[in-house]
Amino acid sequence: MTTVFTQLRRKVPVLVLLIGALELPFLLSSQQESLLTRALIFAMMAASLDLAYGQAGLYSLGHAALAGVGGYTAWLLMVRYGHESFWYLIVAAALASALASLVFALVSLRARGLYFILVTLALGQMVSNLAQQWDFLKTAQAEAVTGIYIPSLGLGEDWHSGTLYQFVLVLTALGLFTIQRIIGSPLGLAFRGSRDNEVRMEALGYDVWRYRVVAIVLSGTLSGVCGALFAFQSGLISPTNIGVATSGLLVLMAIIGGSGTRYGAFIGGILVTLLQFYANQWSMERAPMIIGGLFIVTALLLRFRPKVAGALRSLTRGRVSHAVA
Amino acid sequence: MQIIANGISLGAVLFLMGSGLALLLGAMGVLNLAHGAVYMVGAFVTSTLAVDQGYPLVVAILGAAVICAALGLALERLFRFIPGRPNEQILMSFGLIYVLANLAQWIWGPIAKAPFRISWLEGAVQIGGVSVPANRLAIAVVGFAIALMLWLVQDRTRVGAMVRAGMDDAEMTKGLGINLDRVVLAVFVLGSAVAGIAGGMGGLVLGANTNQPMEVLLMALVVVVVGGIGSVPGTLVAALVIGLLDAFSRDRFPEMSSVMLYLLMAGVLVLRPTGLSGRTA
Repeated sequence: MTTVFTQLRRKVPVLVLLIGALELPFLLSSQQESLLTRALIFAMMAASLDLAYGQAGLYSLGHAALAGVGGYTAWLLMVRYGHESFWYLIVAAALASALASLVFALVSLRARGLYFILVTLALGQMVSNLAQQWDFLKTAQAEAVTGIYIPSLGLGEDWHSGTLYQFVLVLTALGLFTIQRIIGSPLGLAFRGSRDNEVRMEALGYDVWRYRVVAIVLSGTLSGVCGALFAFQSGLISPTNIGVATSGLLVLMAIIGGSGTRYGAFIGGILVTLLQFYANQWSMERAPMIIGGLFIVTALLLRFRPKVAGALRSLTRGRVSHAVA
Repeated sequence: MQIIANGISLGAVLFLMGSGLALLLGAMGVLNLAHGAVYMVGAFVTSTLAVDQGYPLVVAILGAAVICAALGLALERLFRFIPGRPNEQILMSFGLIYVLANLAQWIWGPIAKAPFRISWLEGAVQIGGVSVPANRLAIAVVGFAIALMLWLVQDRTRVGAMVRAGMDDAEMTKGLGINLDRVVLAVFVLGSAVAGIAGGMGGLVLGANTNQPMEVLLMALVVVVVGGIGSVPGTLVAALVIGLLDAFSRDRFPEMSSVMLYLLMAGVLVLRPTGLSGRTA
């Protein structure tokens, strides 16, 4: 009984936080609601990246492309083929991303170590280039594809920035819960095992390669949902959205919050999205300087003051390791 | 014929970029994704010196090489803090790309520089009854000259032997009393100077813009994966194949041209994961 009680007690702060966050629209302007929605989506993307990056130690620099497959699938089915059901679109986006990440995994896992990083970077860019050049994935002259709106849930809902925020919040909570369950399961343990000691895992009879494929596919599938949500919210999606720069930002989010911890990547995602927004507000021209500086400072902090870099690490009581892929 | 000239000149530029990247990665385990940013600096400096100030092209390119070598010196300082740490190297590289691209935009303005027009490289040269654009010929000549030089350095000199030894077994090399840190520094400076030259020569056909750090990096990266690490001829062959493939597919299937490179990379990985030359990082 005590264990059940302590388990419940540990959930209380999370639930309070969730309910509090659900009520936020009463306090915020619609711009702030949109910003927070955007932050939630990116945070969820970073959390899904960290399933492969932090848990399984697969340093992928192509994650935004996997999310992009979901976003472009949603656009294609909605604008080209006229599908209007949210559930249909989100499942299709997830499936498309799952398939893409399977191919991604099969090719990139041929390479090892630093090579793996290079290959993921190149594969991510390939998807972004495809979106840029292939006429099938373009509308008229524009680089971004447009015409996406928030599809219907079939529940007679009334979409505006506030309800969208609440809906995305609930989805994000579900997604995070799923990730927690994976991390806590034997599967998650096998991810960390193949990250920390590949040889021992093989000796114990685990097929490390297979676990790595599973990690990438799970992470890609979740990010496909995020990609579709991103497209619904912004009404458009462009090759730059899904390019290498976004993948790099996702890695920054994961690391700044504490890669390989329970909630680190998610919190990092919210922080970086907000910071990026306010940096852009301060100066469109010089914002890259701030973001770039943040990358460099994080790299140096991670090296010399690891406790500060993953500031939330102690808070979330997660484990962290710097094992090389 | 035009396609082959385009392909070979692009291949020469890619070789210059890929060789630096491969040396750092293979010999030193340094993942310097900011290598493309060095290229961009080289291109902008050459544009200022040769086009705006009217210095001779050779002087401008040497100037770019010197400035990029100095930049390489600074980069080495930063990367020395984080040896063997992929996470930190990824973050550092991305940070440097953001900062350097934004600095370049600050200094040289947001408008991309058109391909440099150098009066004595206008027009075409007749080779065996075929006319080849002079600027592309110049790029190829410089590329092959530097390839030859790098190959001689790596295969025939003491420093080259140290680099190769570091590539095979870093611990043992240090144990033999070789100062590998000094070798890393040399590779960083030399690689950056070569990237600066690549930027200057590449600018003859590609101009200079702030997207180049990523664009050029990605093509060079494909060269590294396809060519493998640690052999100058391997990198050269891969660079030429990729240059030609890019020029050919731009002509034949423009919608899919850049995808072809990555498909080639994926194919090589699946069939021969160590790349053409057969060494891994």
